[in-house]
Order: sequence, then structure tokens, then C-alpha cells
Amino acid sequence: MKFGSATILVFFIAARLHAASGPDKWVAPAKTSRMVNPIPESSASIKLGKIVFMNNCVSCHGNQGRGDGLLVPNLPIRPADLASPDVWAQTEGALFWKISTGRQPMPTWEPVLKEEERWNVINFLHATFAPKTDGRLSNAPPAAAPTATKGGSGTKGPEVVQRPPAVPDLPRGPRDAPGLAATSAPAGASESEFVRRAEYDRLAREHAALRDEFEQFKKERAAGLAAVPVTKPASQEDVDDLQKAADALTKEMISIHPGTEKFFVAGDAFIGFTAQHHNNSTFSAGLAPLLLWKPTSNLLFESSFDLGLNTNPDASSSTSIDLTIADAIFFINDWLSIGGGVFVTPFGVYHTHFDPPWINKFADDPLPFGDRAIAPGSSLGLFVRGAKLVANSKIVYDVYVSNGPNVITTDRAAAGSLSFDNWNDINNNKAVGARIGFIPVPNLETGYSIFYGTASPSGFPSRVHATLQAVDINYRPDVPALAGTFDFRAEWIWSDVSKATYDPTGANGFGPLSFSNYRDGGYVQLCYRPTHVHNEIIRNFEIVSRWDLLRVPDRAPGGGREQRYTIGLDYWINPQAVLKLDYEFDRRAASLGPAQDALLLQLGLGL
Amino acid sequence: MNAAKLLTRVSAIIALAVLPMGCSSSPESSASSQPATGFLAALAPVHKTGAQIWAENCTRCHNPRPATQYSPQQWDVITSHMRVRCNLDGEEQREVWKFMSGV
Repeated sequence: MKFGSATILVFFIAARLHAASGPDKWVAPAKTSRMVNPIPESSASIKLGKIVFMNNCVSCHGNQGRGDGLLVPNLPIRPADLASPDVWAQTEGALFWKISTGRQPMPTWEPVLKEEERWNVINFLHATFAPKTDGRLSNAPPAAAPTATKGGSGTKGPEVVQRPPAVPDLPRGPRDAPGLAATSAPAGASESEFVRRAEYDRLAREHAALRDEFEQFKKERAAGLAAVPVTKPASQEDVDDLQKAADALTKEMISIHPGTEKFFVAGDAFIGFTAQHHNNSTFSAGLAPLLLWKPTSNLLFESSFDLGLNTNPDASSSTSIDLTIADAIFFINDWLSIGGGVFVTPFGVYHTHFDPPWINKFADDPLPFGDRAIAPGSSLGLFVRGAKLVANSKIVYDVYVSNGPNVITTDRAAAGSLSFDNWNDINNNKAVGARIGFIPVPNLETGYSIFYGTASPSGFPSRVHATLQAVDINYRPDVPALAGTFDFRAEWIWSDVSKATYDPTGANGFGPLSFSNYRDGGYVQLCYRPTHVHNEIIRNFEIVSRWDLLRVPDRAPGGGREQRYTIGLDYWINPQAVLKLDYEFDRRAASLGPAQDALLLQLGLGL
Repeated sequence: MNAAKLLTRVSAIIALAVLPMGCSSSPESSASSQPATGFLAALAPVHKTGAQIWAENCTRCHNPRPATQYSPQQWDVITSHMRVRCNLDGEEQREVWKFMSGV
């Protein structure tokens, strides 16, 4: 544990040092910096750019462009302040390249926004956020800016190039103005008001060429107008009709776009390796496809199954298929849904929220949800669920009825344990359950679950009832002072099964065996990811730690107390692929055999 | 054991108190009723944008996936699945769908 504490300390220090060292400079390639904005900064372009900005950028950069959008608490770095002089010290070509290319977490907008839209949004950004005192760097390379102000009036602020008055403000053309520097400025005059002779001559030539081109254009236009009949200017109604037609066409195009079927395949997978004391080391793998189909707006079908590899006692191997979800859900209204089939049991939140290997931050399940589970995974029955928004908080609820668990009565190794994989009702008595959750503030959820059913099979001499309860809490605060995000999750489960006598006649070779059957267990985990660190490699690491416990009556088969301390390091290859390395310190009662400390390695994938 | 029994009783009280609240109104009836005032007005849901709902709900459990990874139709199916899995309100599901689809 000393080693673990030292590791965490070193990691924190490294994270803080790196965060304090400032962001890596993001510089556009020189070639792209020379790109010219082909769209004039007209009111129409600004309006179109505003639409693009409000739909795509405002959630991160904020209404005022200050990099304070709603999503900032969840972003690993702070978005750029679009009113910053540093931003406008760059050329439009550089901004265009950055918007097009992106850099995590800023998306790559090239496949999403048309080139014209990206230029429009630059025009909007310049008109709205750029410091009013600046000139505009249309395509001057970054090196030109410091040259332009060097030895100038001495004013601080953005390094800008002021457009020389000698050059006419042309309608819009190539604005190539590198190296606008005066060699000898008169006293009292700003250097940026002058250009070299060579620059002036070149600009004058360009001006002359443009003037000729413009004259030619006027002649062609005059000729064209003479040939084209005069038409009535479009009215607002015509524009609206055209807009409606365009919207209809857009919808039609979307409807025939690939991926329009309301059928979706997702799921998860893992590849693992476990080296455990007193056991042979082994590789493992699993695949869990998830099939979704939404044929109408208020009907959803879900199906999922776990494909697993098993080694049988006779050393042969087999592949298992466990159906974990096969249900239909009907959305009655915004706060009520009903469904039926095989569904993930909303008892606690581990199975409903956290158990897919690309979401679970550890390579195995916590003890109460593992091989000796005391909580149900899936149930077969009917359910009602929904959510109710109250002010800034939310109440969520789940109520269900199912075939219920089955208490094992004849297996000498597991008598008294509950089996939740029983798809037939063995006693004509349904189980009922509910969970109510409360989300008082964003990123914090608490819940309480209860599950009750008769678990003894028909013909068993005792009537055995099972009452399960659970509490859960999860919280994910962003802590800029520690340059990262914490993830806290905890659950505790109580399983109260009626006292009974198993194998009362001794026919199964282990009875009569009677014991009080009260079990409990849970887990507490805390993880830290340095999401504010600018180095992407460091940012993708996550330190994970967990304590879990399971207590089973000593007299019960497989009885005894087991607890584990797990510490590990995850590396997020991308948002849905994680490489996990865990070490588990195992402590268990002597009745459960020697402690089995374990080293686990797992690649978890979300499909 | 005592803690478990206490929790059983607490759960019964919570169920009796809260579930009727969730079943006592419908969108139609609330739309046609008079605007709430005072304490009831304070309980009215705070309107949130799709981006805000996405940030508050999705990232609590898993890393967010890029919006461009799926088509609007696929996002409709995915957000409906997540509505079931993590108890999103219908309005929340629609807002998140709009946000992820760029609609």
C-alpha cells in the first residue's frame, strides 16, 4: 500500500506540474495559414455564421465566446477564449485549419460543416468577438505579426497588421500582405502605415489587374442583362416557399442516408489475462452484442446476450450464451414507460449503469455482483419505470414483478444461496421489486432498492422468503484545483433469506443443515483522471482504487468473509476502449481457502 | 439485521409518499391547469438544453462518444435505449437527441 500511495502522490505532482506548465502551443501549418477567406464579411455571411456557431460551438465556447460554455466542466481542457487577442493574432487561414482539423476535445468539423459554413463562422467570430481595435490578418503568416508592431508606437495589445491607407479597400480579393513593415518610419508616425516600395508596386499591380478584371466583368454583366428578361424581385413569400422546399429536401436526403433504419447494433467485448495466487494464470475473453430496434416513436425492442468461453471439469471447452436482455418497452408519456421480457434488474445500479467492460473501471465485478452474487442481474417479468423532473433535480423510479429467485436446496456446495438465473417460476409466487433514485444536483445520484419474493421450490418443507435491499450513490465531481475529475461509486446490499433446514433427511449427503441465512456486501471505489492536464498521454490515464466485501454465514456452504483491496491504472485508448491493469489484495476466511491475490490485465471495448 | 429492518420500513414510507406523486399528473392535465404559484412554482422543472442534459447525465457513467459517430436515426435509437437504462425523462431524451444529431 505504501507503494500505491507513493504512486498516487507522484502522479498528482506530475499532473500539477504539467498543468502549471501551460498548454501546448497549437500552431497551424504555415501553408494553411496563407489560405484566403473567399467569403466577404457581409451581414448575410455573419448571419449564416451565427447559425453555425449557435448550433455547434456555443455549448463549449459560450454565448460570449469566452470559452465558458455549459460543457466546460466536463471538458478536459478549457476551450479557447474567442475574444482573446491571441486568437486574432492568427490568420483566418490558420483559424480555418483549426476549425477543420480540430484537436481533442474540439471535434474535427471538416466532415460536419461545409467549407462555406466554416468561413461564414469565421466571419461571424471576427465581427462579434474580435477586439475592435485590430486590423484583420487575412492571410499573413504568423511571423508577420510581430514584425508589423516591432518598434512601433509601443502600445501593448494584439500583434496586428494595419491595412496601409495607400492600398485601396478592394471589394474582396486576395489579401496577400506579408511583411507589411516600414524600414524607416518618420517620427510620430506609426510604422504600420507604410510599406516598402516593392510591396507597394506589387499591390499597385494587383490593383490594376483587379480594376481591369472588374471593368471586364461590368461589360459582361451589361451584355448579359440585355439578353435576360427583367424578372420581378423575389418577395418574402417566395423566399419562405423556397426555404420550405429546401427543408423538405433536406429531410428527404436525411431519410435516405445510410443508417436510417431504426435498427442498431452495439455491445461490448473484453480480452483479459489473470494471474492469481494458488491458481493457474489464464486468458479470458467475452462478447456481448446489443441489438436495438425502434419501429415506432414509442416502441423499443432490446436484446443482448453474453457469449463466453468455459473450460469444463473434464478439460473440454464450451461456449456459453446467456440471454441478458430480451424486452419490449412502450413509452406511455414523458415520465412513464412500461415493458416486459428479460430485463436488467434495477436493483442497485451496478448492472444497469456500470458493468459493461468499457464502463467498469476494473477488470472484474465487485464481490456482491461476482461469482457468488447476492444481487440479481436479469429478471423475467414486467416493469414500469420513468423519471420526474422537480426544479433542478430529478426523481427516478422502477417497479417490477418477476419470476423471482430460487434458493438452492440440493447442492452441497451452494445450499442456501439464491440463484437468479431461473427463468421458470418454481413456486407459483412472483417476486416484486422497486428502486427509487434521487439526483439532487448534476453528477450526483443516490438510490434505494428493495426486492422481495418467495424463493423455496414447491415441495420444499420450509417456506423460504428472500428480502434484498440495497443503497447506492455515485458522484463525479470536476476538481480544477487538482487538475482532474474524481469518480466515486459505492453500493451496499443486504440479503435476508429465511432460516431453513436443507437436506433434512440426509438424502443429499450433507444434511440436515440449518443456519441463519443473512448475507451482506458492497463496494466503495474512487478513481481519479487528470482531465485538466494538457498532455494527452497523461490525460488518458486514470488511477483506480476499490474496496469490496462479501459476508456469508459461516455455517452456510461456501460461508465466510472475503474482502479485497484493488488498486490499478487504466489507460483510455479512446472514449470506448480502455486498457486496465489491476492488482487485488485478497483477504478471506480460512473456510474459503488461501487468499488469492491477483494481477489482472484487461482490454475493455464498447462496440 | 436491525439496519435492514429499518431500511424496509423506510422504503415502505418512501414508496407510499413518492410514487403517487409520479402518477398524479399527466402532461395534458398540467398543460391545461393554471400556472403554479409559490411553492409549486419552485418545483417546476428547470428547462435545460440538450447539451446540459447530456453533460449532466451521460458523462456520469461513461465517456461521451463523438456526435458524428452515428446518424440522427441511430442517435434516436441510442437515446431511447439510454432513456430506459438510466431513467431519462422523455423531454430529456428528445433534447439530447437534438444535441447529438445537430438538429
